[in-house]
Amino acid sequence: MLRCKTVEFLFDALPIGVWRAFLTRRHIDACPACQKKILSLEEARSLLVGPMDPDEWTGLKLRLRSRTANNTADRATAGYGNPAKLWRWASSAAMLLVLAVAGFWLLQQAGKEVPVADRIRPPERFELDYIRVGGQPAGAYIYQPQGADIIIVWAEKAP
Amino acid sequence: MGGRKREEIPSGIPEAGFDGVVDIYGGQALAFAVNVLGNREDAEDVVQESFIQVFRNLGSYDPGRSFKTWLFTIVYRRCLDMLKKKRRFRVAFEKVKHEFPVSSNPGPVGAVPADVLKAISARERTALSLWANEGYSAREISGVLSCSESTARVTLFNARKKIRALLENRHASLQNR
Repeated sequence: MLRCKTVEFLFDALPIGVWRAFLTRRHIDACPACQKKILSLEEARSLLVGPMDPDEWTGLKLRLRSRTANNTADRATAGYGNPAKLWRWASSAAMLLVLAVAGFWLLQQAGKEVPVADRIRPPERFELDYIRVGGQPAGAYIYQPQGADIIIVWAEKAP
Repeated sequence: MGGRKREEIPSGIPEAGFDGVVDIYGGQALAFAVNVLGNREDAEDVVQESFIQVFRNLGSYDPGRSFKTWLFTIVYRRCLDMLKKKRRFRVAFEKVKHEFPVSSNPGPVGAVPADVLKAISARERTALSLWANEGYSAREISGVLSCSESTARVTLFNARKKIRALLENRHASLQNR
C-alpha cells in the first residue's frame, strides 16, 4: 500500500508522458490495489455502447451499399478516375499547345526577310569623296527616292 | 461495392468483398463512433463517410497494417472533424438562440453511451472504447490515435481514473440525499 502511495505521488509529481507510462506499465497495470482505483473492464463495457447486431444498423448498411454502388458506376463511366485530375491534365495540355503556337509564330516573324529598301542605307553602301566637273570641284546632290533601290547623283559646276 | 472483383482487393483486407467488409466491421465501427461522439445520428454519418473513404483510398492502404486499425483510424479522424464542426455550429447557434425561439430537440435515437463519458475528452473516449470493446492494447490504440505507445497508455489510464472518480462522486452524492 505504501508503494502504491509512492507511485501515485510520483505519477502526479512528474507530468511527463514517458514517465507516467513507465509507472503505469511497471506498477499500476499489475497492482490489484491500484486497479481498484480505476475503472475496470466490466464497468467500462457497461458504460459504453457495445458492437451492434446487423439488425440495429440496417438503414446505414443500405445507404452504404447505394453510395458505394454509385461510386463504382462513376468510376466505370469516367475511365480516368478523378475528374479534377483529368481537367488539370487537359488545361495543362491546352496551355502547352498555346505556348508552342505562339513561339512558332514569333520565330517565324523573327526570321522574315527585311525589305531591300530598309537594308540599303546610302551612307553605308554609297560614298563619294568629291566630284569634279571640267577639272574643278563640283557641287553634288544625292537623292534616293523613298521605297526605290536607285540612287540619283546630281552634279553641277561650282559657281 | 459488390461489383469489385476479388483480385482487386489488396492483401490484408478480408476477402469477403466490400459488402462483406461492411458486414464484418460496420457494427463495430458504428459502436465506436457512437461512443466517441455520444450521438447515433452523427455516428452513422461518420461511419458512412469513413467506409466511402476506405473504398476510395484502397490504394493507400498498407497491407502490413491491420485493416481494422486502419478503418478505426479513419473513423476516429472523421469523428474529430464532426466534433469540430459541431463545436463551430454550437458557437454560432448560441449567438442566435436568444433571437429566435427554438423547439426542444427530441435527442438522439438508439443506444447511447453513459452520460458520464461526456466528462472526458474524445481522445480518452476513443482509448476507452478501443480497450473495452475491441480489446486493443496500448500499442494498437496508439496506432489509431497516431501517438506513441506511452501516450496511449497514459490516455487510457487517465480516462479510467477520471470515470471512476466521477462514478464515486455520483454515488456519494446519491447516498447523501
